[in-house]
Amino acid sequence: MRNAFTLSFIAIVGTTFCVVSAQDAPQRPMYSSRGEVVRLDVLVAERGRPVQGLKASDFTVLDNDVPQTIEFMSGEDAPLNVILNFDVSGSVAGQRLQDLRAAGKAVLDNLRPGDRAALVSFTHVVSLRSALTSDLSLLRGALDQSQPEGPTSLVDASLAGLVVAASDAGRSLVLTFTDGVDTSSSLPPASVLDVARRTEVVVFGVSAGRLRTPFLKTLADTTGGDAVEIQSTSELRATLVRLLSEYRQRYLIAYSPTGVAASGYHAVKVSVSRKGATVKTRQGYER
Amino acid sequence: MAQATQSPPVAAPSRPLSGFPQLQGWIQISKTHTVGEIDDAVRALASMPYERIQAVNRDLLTVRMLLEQDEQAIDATPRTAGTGHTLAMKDLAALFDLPDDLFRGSDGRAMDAREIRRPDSAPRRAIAKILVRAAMLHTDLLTSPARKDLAKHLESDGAAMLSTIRVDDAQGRASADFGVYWNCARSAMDVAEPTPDLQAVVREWYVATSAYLLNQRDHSAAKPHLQHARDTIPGEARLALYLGAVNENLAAPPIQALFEGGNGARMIGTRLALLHQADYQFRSALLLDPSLNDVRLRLGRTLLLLGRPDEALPILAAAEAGLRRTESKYAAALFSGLAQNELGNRVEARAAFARASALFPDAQSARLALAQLAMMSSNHAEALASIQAIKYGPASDPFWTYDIDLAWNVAGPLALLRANVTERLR
Repeated sequence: MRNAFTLSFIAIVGTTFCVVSAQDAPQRPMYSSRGEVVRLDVLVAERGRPVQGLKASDFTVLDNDVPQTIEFMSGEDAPLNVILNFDVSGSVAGQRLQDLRAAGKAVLDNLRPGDRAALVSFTHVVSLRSALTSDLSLLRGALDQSQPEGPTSLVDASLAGLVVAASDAGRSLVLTFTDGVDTSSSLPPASVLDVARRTEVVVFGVSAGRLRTPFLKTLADTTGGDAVEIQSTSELRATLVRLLSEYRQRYLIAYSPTGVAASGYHAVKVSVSRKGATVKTRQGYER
Repeated sequence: MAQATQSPPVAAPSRPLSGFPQLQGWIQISKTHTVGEIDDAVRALASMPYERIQAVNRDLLTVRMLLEQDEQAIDATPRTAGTGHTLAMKDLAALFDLPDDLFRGSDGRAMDAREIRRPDSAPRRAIAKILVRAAMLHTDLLTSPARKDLAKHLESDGAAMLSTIRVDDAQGRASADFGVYWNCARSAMDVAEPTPDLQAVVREWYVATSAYLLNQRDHSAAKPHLQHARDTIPGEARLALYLGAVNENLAAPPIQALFEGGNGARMIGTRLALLHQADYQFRSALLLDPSLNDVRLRLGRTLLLLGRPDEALPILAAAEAGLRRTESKYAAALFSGLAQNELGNRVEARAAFARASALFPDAQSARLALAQLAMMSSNHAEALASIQAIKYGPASDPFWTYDIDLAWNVAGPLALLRANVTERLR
């Protein structure tokens, strides 16, 4: 199954990704000669603002502390899969729901040709309201139909978001919104984090009010995303649009792991030569 | 303090007893009650001010002390400043409005305190019957869907009476506290319980009312109720099971999330402490009645939550094999799968989740678990198919009602209780 995934990734690389540069590698890397490719979404920031224009030679990638060769790198032109994973539990009634719908539509408005989106809504029921599609009118309709009720299954919904995101080999991010804590999931959080370490999906979590559960922050950190607290859902629209924009400005880096064990957990560290810049990417991967 | 609503007229006691008017009035009301009906007695009880129910409860403790311990019990909590009231054996006939002859032996002489105290004495049996009827009066109010309308004054009786918190999606909302009515009913049953021919009824009352409270997710009332029940009837396995289940439910995210980091956490207990209490109660229940497979289901799940999946597995397997109710079997298979998964046994986990899913094909918890396993094998297509199979809209998942599954049928046991009590009180 992993091979099939790798092959489809190569197809996308060959057809739609804009190659920026590659360190010690040809423009069309020969992934097929390798068993696996590890893909990293990397945010480089300076004073809180994304840094653009870096080359592969500016990056150092360590896989379990072993330096790796970057075989492929692309910038913000790659099309995205955006999964909206929205809490519509009972506590999201009234203005919060209006703000949530508006924020979801704002994200859709900021998608580009070639991007696709999906909607998972959750109360205690996790519902795939729309699978990945480029027909955004479907999602707008689904957003309008969400009705708040019941408790919150954040952990369960996070798995669903990961599944939908990983169902396509393209770059995928999950934008999760919740206004509270998990009160009704059946899955243990650790089992979903296990899955997150096996996908290349990036999860962003936005919490209205204090983030009262460590799960969402751990999930975001694990996948190289971010967990953001907002005071009011009136900030949600701007926050989600900013996160989408920030994600677009990430570098996509790929390498074939060499000199490391074939299985188990691999800690990944990425650094850049540029002074004062910070780097964010996923903490590692499991295979 | 708000005034109680207008109460229906109740006959005054024929021999008013100084110092115990609240209890005497309450007894008069109770004696007119027809078990199982929302009658004038229920309405009169519902209209009583909170403080009056508390006073009745204190007086019942005094009666119990008199019958079980002291020659002469003193109500140490005067309701009028500077005065106390003494209750003596000679007052019982007037207090319960019983004929004096009842307090005489077959030879016509007045019974002494020791004779009256005997659990099977005629006065003791008569008092016990009145108090069982009184407890049923409370039960009929408390289990009535109209209880909030009947006792509307509780909502406006001040903050002290709004101490129950209803939890909805990790948000708490103060609600009328009916705990004082349950306290009073328990105090009445405490006096009745030693009477041999009413012991079965008292046991049945505790089992049926505990199941009711569990079904209503009224944990704030259920926990003290069950703790008292366990002390009163330590040999009843179902009460240990229910108390374990209340602790398990209090340890669950919906409630823990509400109290995290606050004073409430100290009040209800931490997740870990509650799970250990649940573990203890479930093991006690199994010792009392090894045939209760519901206990195995809950013990297994508690062990899983305590991070002991290896211990949980054989217990859950026995539960799954022994349980007959489909919803319970589903839960046992689901938890078995989670335990297997935690131990890294993916093939066995998958088989367990598939068993659960076969029982309830629309239930999302088993489908999500299967999707999680598929993702662990990088089988993204199968994982997506599992997620897509979850239907949008009203669906049924036994996991959502697992917390009250033990008490899924409360109407039947309550109806049986009422029939049995009516028979006994005839």
